[in-house]
Amino acid sequence: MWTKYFKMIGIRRGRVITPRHGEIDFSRDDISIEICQQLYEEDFPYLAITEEGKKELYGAEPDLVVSESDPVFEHLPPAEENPDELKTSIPIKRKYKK
Amino acid sequence: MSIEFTDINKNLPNGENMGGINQKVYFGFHADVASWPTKPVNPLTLEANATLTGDLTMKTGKRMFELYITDDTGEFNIETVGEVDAKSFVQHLNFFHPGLQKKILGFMNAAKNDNLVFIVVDAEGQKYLMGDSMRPATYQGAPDGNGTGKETAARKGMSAEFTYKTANNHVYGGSIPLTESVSG
Repeated sequence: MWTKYFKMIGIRRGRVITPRHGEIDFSRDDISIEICQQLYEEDFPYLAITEEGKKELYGAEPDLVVSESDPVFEHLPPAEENPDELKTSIPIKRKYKK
Repeated sequence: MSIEFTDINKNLPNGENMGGINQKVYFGFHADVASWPTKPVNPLTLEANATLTGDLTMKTGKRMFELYITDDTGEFNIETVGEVDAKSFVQHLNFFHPGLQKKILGFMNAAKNDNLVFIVVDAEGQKYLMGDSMRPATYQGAPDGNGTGKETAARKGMSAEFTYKTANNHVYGGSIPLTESVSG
């Protein structure tokens, strides 16, 4: 069944006049997969391919799953909170007197 | 770069060159169109200069519709208009729909003063889109009359003419959605 490999997008499943194959009623389940593939390859706007369609029709591997890898850089220990060691290019002046 | 001229030979694939249009025309409200196919921009060939790219899509909940016309009554005609150095085209669609049923009367009531879009398919399956993002197709009148006719053998029904003004003539190669658009 074509719906295993393609899904309708943008419109409800129903009738569309297609550029090369005339009227197709996409509410039917018996549409040829070859026709769907042709339409998909010709940028028909209402068909998207499923993961299974990518695999079966184009031999594509499933999308890679991103897993956590080893850190590239070593984490540095947090800086000690000691305001006396703060240094800037411009000396910090106390604005208000206590 | 500019467009390049080429030889224009007799080109009738399979010897086909039937006149007239299909027995169905497709219509919708101009305001219901979500996106329009694009017109050629700096085309390099004559064919590209007459080809629309992409599809006409409709807004959510909207669709195109079909209208039956009596065979040999439908005509798509291109009229050249304008003064020297200001030439353009008016595309005409004429047809006759049999009967005076409420649906066709209601259609004419709704269409007569509104902005529409039509897609006309000729006998070879070539499609013409009457309407663009700037201009709609509009009702002009009933060239073959509307009504019952006089004799019992007369043809009862509605005739109609719609026109669309355009700078250039193009062929539409996209699809026609006869089912409602949905979001997402």
